[in-house]
Amino acid sequence: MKHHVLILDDEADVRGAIRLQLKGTRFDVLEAENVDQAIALIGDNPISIDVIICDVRMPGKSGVEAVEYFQRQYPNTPVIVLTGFPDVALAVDFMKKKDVVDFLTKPVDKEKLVATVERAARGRKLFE
Amino acid sequence: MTRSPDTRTELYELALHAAPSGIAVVDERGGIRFANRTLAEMFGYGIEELLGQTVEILLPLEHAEAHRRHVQHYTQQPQQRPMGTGRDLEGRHRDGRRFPVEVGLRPAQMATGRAVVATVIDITARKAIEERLRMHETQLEALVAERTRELRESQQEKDRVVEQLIQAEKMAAVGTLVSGIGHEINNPLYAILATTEALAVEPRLAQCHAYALDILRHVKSIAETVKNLSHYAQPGSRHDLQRVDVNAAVEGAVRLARRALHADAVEIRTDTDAVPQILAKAEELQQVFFNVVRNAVQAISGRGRVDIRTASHERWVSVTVQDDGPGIAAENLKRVFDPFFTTKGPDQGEGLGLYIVRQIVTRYRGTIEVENAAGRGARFVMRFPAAGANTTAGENA
Repeated sequence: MKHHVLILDDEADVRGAIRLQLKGTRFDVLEAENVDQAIALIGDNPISIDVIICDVRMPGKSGVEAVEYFQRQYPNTPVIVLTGFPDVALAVDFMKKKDVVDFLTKPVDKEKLVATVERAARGRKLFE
Repeated sequence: MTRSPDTRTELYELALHAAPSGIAVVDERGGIRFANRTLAEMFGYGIEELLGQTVEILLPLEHAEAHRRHVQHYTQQPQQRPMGTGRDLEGRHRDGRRFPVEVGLRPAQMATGRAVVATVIDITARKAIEERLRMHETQLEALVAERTRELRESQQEKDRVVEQLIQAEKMAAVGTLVSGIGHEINNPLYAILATTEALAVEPRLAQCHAYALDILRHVKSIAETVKNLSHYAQPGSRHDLQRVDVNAAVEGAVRLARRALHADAVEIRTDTDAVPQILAKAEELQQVFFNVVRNAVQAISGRGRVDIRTASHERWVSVTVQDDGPGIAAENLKRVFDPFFTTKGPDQGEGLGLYIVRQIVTRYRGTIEVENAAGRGARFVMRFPAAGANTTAGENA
């Protein structure tokens, strides 16, 4: 059975990189380039999203707002925060949010990304 | 009892004794032939005691010999010496005390030979005042020198602090940009990483080729970003100005502003015209526009809009940045380009952003003006001379 990862990042190159790294795993990738698109995608889609990977800085609504929204609407869906620029304060902020399971800094290699996504997806199962 | 009328001689004597100056008549051998009361009292003698003495008893001992020669010389070639013109002299009081005097000399002819009428003033009090004045003057000069030195030092200190703060503001601006640029580098870096991972396990040659081209594209993008960075903090001169596309700098600044300013409630819009190139440094020009846009964004609280327009008129390129914030108070319009002038909180900069903007714009031989827009908000207008068709600087730009 295929599982689904939603990538929310305004950069097509980044979405492409994650898609490439998840190729051949048990995860299918859905892409959104902004928060509104992500919300629409989740709402319209009959399939369930197992893991959300969310960028921090984006034009329009920021990653922080997105995470807050996902927490409210989909409290059981784990969120991995992905940032282009390491910022300890931001990391701590995010880790306090209960559904943020991990915090990754770009660039992240395939092994680490897949392991993180796997761990997040398994964690979700435990809750359900 | 009746008294005979005063003789003329008695009247003269009365007047002479009452004169405020000491008066003496000295004969050509230095003998005192007459002394008035003022003179006698000045030197501590009775009048009678002085008559017949030589004038040397009124002089300090070491001057007596010299004085004898003076008298000789003077009596041979007499000439009038008014008060206050000769050098200052000293008198010797009967008790040995020396005191400063001023002496006027006037040759005269007595029935028995040549004489000199000497007028003597005790200038002890005047000397004391002069000495005090000289002391005050010296103190004053020292004080002025001290203050001048302090002022010079304080100006140097101020210049140094201003220089440091300008540098700090630049570094802070770099810090803001670095987090934005972090994306510019890390995003393509991530793409390179993922593509290389895929390339390493890809058996199909055609797909490998496609991956390699992807990687090449991302590497070039990073190289470009780094190249821009390396120019960023360099102090500028006019020598290394190149022909620069104004619209590209505007787009770059807006891109950075969107990323770095965390102002999602502010919409930044550009309306660019095809304009001639100008002589500038691309990264610096981008900083200029970024600073002006940042200023506009920070002026807006809550939702708002910043519009950037480029246009050309004859040989000038204009860039207008207009916001719909509260505008600038009339009394501040003239001060916004002053160093350290800021109406924002301390977390929003030292107040050097627009100062730096004006420095750079001026170096490009351009101008910057600010006014409140007709409706709402402030409008900054920068004008740059278009680079001439035969401009030689940096044709590789």
